[in-house]
Amino acid sequence: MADVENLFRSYVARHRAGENPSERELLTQVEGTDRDELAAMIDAYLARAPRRAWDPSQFEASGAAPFVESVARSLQGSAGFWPTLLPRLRTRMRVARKDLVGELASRLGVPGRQDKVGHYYHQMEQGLLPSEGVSDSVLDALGAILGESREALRRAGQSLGPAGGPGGTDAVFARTAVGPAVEAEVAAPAAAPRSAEEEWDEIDRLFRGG
Amino acid sequence: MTDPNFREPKEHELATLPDERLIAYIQEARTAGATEAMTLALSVLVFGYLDIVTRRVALKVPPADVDDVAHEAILSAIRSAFSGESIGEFRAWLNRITSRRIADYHRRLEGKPRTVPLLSGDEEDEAGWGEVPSAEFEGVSVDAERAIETAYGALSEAHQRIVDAYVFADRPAPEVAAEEATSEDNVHQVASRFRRRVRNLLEDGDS
Repeated sequence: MADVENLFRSYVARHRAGENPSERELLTQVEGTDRDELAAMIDAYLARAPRRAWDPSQFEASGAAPFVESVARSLQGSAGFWPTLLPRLRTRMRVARKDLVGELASRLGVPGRQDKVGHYYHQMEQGLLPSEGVSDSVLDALGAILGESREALRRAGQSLGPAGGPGGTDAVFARTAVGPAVEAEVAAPAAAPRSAEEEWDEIDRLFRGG
Repeated sequence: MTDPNFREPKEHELATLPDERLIAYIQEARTAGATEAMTLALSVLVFGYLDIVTRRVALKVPPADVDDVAHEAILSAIRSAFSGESIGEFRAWLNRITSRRIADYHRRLEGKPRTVPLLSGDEEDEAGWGEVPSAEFEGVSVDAERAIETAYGALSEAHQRIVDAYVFADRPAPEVAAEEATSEDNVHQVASRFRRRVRNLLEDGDS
């Protein structure tokens, strides 16, 4: 059985040297209290480890870029942290977006209007739909699908206050490769397809009427 | 439009800003509409901690759920920082939030079978999802870190500095001894007593 202190010291040395030691592999070398001790020491080391030095090429390779972009969208958008939270919850619940939209439309009592519901849901995920306009009915239905409470979704969607001008939003979305339809939405983020008063319907009310 | 008064530091300047300054800068860039600058600073912050948080989570959460919990922890910390909450030092807050999200994860799992997706990697909307039971994960007790906290908390400030430098920062004993105006032997003794105390707490289970 390996010695806890040596394993710990070797882990720290490797991590500090920029290597990629596997905690899981290391822990298989010890059992019982040794294992708990080693894990606790590694955890305490990591909690004190300095912030990793910035390295653009490692950042690109790390796969963190999409996460950062979703956080950036959240900070720039008008829907709080929905752009980060909603896709994550969807992934956690193993729900594909088209299935979610179908279920959402059905729960809202508009099963034949998936296109429009999908359009609004897309805007929610992109941070383009002001969260205060989204009704409790939508959040209740969404929460039931995603395993979150209405209150938690409402809190997550709270605006962080006004961000800077639209030029910034363009820059974020330019990298998301979501196609011309979304780019057009970005140009006028608050404008849903409502060119005349008669187009306002039940779905608009649910997503924009508060 | 970007605020013309907003000054964008060079990338290397951003990279060396301490956490609190970096967060303040992200906020300034956001307000000024300098999205590229904001995203870069956010990248520096997330890159700096995502690996550390992911490794901490991996000690206590099954592999299939590690990224989700790690992202949630980082997101919660950033959210607090930008919602005007008083969070104190960002790093300490991030550590606390990480532990909480791990605990939340285990609470959510209570009574639910553990599953992993049939598909992994990037979520693909058009692809279907499926689930299979995961292999049993022999994770480490969430409470194990309390043994460290208890043993560490019982040390004097001077001895905490010795443990930080010699045990956790892996600095040579002579260097730590010189810095703390003590003997090398004493550095070894402090470290050894700390480790023994952690061990006892884990064995007794009364951490």
